Amino acid sequence: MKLTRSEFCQFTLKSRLELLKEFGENILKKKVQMRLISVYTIFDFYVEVYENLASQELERVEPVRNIHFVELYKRL
Amino acid sequence: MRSVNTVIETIDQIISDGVKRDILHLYTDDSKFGGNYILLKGKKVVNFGSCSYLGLEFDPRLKEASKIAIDNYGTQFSESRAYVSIGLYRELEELFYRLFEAPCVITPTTTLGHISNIPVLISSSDAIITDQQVHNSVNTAVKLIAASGTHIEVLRHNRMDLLEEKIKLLRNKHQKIWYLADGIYSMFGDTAPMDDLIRLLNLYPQFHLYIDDAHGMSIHGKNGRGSVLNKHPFHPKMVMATSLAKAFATGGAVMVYPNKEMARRVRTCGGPLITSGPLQPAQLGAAVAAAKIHLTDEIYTMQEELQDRIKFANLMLRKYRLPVIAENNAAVFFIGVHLPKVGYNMVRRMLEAGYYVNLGIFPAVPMKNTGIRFTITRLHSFSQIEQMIRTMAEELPKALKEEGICYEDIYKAFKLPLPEEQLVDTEVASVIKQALSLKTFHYKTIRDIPKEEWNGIFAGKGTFDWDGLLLLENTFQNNELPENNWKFDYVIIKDIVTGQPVVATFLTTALWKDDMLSPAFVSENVELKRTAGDPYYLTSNVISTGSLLTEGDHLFIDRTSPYWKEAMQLFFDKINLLQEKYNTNSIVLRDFQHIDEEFESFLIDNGFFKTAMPDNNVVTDLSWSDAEEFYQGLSKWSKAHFRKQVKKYQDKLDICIERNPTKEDIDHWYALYENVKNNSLELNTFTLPKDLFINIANDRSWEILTIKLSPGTKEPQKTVCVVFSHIGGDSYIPMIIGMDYSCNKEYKVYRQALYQLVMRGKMIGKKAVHLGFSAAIEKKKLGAVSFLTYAFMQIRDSFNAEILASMNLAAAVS
Repeated sequence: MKLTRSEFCQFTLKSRLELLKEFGENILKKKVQMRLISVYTIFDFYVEVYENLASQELERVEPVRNIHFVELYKRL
Repeated sequence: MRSVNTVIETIDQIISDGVKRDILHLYTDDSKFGGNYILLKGKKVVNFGSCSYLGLEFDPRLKEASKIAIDNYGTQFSESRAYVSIGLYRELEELFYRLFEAPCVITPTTTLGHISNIPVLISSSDAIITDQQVHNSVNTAVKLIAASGTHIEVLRHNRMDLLEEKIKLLRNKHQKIWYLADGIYSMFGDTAPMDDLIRLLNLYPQFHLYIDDAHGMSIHGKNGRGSVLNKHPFHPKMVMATSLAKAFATGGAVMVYPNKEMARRVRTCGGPLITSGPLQPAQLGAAVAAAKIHLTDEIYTMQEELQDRIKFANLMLRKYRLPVIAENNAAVFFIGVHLPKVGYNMVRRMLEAGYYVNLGIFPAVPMKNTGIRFTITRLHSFSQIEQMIRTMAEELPKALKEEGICYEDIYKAFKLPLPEEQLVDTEVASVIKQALSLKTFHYKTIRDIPKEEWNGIFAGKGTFDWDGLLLLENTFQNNELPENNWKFDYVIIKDIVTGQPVVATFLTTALWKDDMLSPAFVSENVELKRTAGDPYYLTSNVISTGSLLTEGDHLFIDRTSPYWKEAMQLFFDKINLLQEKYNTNSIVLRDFQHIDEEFESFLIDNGFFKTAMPDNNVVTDLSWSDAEEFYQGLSKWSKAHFRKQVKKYQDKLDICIERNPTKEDIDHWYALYENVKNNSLELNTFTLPKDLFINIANDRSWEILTIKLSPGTKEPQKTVCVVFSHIGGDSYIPMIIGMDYSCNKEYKVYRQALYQLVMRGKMIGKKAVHLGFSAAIEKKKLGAVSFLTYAFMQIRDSFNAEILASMNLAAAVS
């Protein structure tokens, strides 16, 4: 059963990441400086995840509208 | 006492049914737990029944603290807390004082906490108002103080408007008015309206709140103080009880008070704190560790993780369109399934699919409000929750189809609006039912049914042959008073192949006194309120097989038909439709005397509970030829009674069978009937209309027997007793009696009447004399046999029944 973007955003960052791992598919994982950047597809949208490797903190788990950013990440 | 026993019998039957079906009284087969899986009957299932909402039971800090406490203090410290408490108690009490910022007393269970609190805190000059759905453990403690004369009332669930009205009414009569409620209700997971309660606490000085927040502890509020204290500080007129055996994960309970004196008083005088055992070292050690976690920010992370899972479950329930009864932010969820049989079916299906969920069933909820109760904990993954809810959504339509129920029935039972997408399901169910080889015939008057057809089914079974019913229809329609206007419905379900009836009955819908079968002392109190200006206090519209003026085998079922159960389902459909149409509170199927296990299970599965009616007394042996032979057939003791109480007065009383009575006769007989009616609260009904007596007097299926004083007595020819009996079938059935009580003591008129009725039944060739309900000992002396008689009921709203139960309790113990 799908969640919408706004429903997905009702959850805490930690739960969003759990949802991504349980229901989504990781399509990109890239280390950029001290951040691990991941992109997932889940339900019918994309989500980008920033994890700070130094502090072990989740900084961002947000749906994104533009798919072209994946290519940008790949070029980094 | 019988009504209490039948409730226990019903509970026994329901729970035993669940045990037989391997869904209740289960044991886990695991040698070790890990996570939220358990092994039941050899199958690994995800546990959706745990109330350990934060999953702290597996926290290594709690486990280690428990082990250390055992190493240090042994497995138990066996002394009453009135003498010595293990030092861990002091540490825990100090931690709880920091946690709640209020004085606390720790008790071994929440139930024992209530039993410690309520008798100490609430006095006989106070009033108690209990919420209709407050936890059973609170009511258990209330029963202990009922004897002291404390005023006790029940409030319709969460109705703050009515609570305020009650406070206004009671505030000048009682020192304190205590409202007893739950923070989160354990079945439906709905919450107490705390904003309103705080407003009432601030507004009315006499108003006090006693609240059990067992399901809110740890999962809400600062330091996990619970749902009650989530948004409001501790109110100085509030006492809170909360459990350590749910999200806190250690066992035990904690009582929280607004001041130290109150805590001291309970600690000193609370019964279980003087005489019962304490919490043991293992639990105390774990509790200290858990309390320390609650005093750190870690508790908020745990709360957040649980809240996200609750939010997710609510989203999934909405998306899968399951009939959720109360959406909220508690970890308890209730999916309505309507009848016990669907509940059993669903729990079994869920187990087979790998999920353990609870069956929410009577007595925790009303019979027709059976449901699947499940809980969410922090240990559930999102995918486990999604898969469980998806499975439930897939299995529910199958279970409903298997049990002949549709979604519409569920929404109606819980008084919820039917979502549009479910309307198709209703149409499908209707098509399926029409395809059966059965047809339902429904009539609004007996005139529309051929006399020979009706009498072919019911002649000789009671007072409701075709003519008897016409008399009732003519009497109980177009009257002034609402209680004298009955609706009549006749239902015959036939096998369309054979043309024979499989199920047949007549139903009346009428206003009943809810205390009809209550003890007389309860009815006395209720009648006081009725005569004080509220004549319809505690009355309800009831749809019943038979009527208030008939007795006998009202429901014909051809149990030899292979379709009898399907026919009964169609009958239930019809009666449910009529209940909707007439807006009645209860359905009563009455006058069952010989019930086999299969039939009883069938009715209970379909949401009926069994209740005792007064015993029916029948003289079945009329084989004697004359009065002397009848006398010789009595026991030695009964013979002596007969000589002293009946025979001795025979020559002072004349027996007449009345024909063509005058208006004056009927007026006098009606006055005699009113004497009896006003003297008898054992079977408390509305007064019958005089038109009934006029109609009976003109009906050949009835006869009127009178007893008059003989010449030579002080008032010769005075009619002192009248009995109206139905003589239409094989039995002689006296239905209405009237008496002049001023002569009863001198001439033993009532006993004479019973004897004369037996003689009369024999004289006109009947096979039995039905002497009706009550006065069983008197009737037994004349050879009557008592038959246990039962009814099966469905009640939509049990509020009036709960008021009567509280009146019964208060009166019985005082």
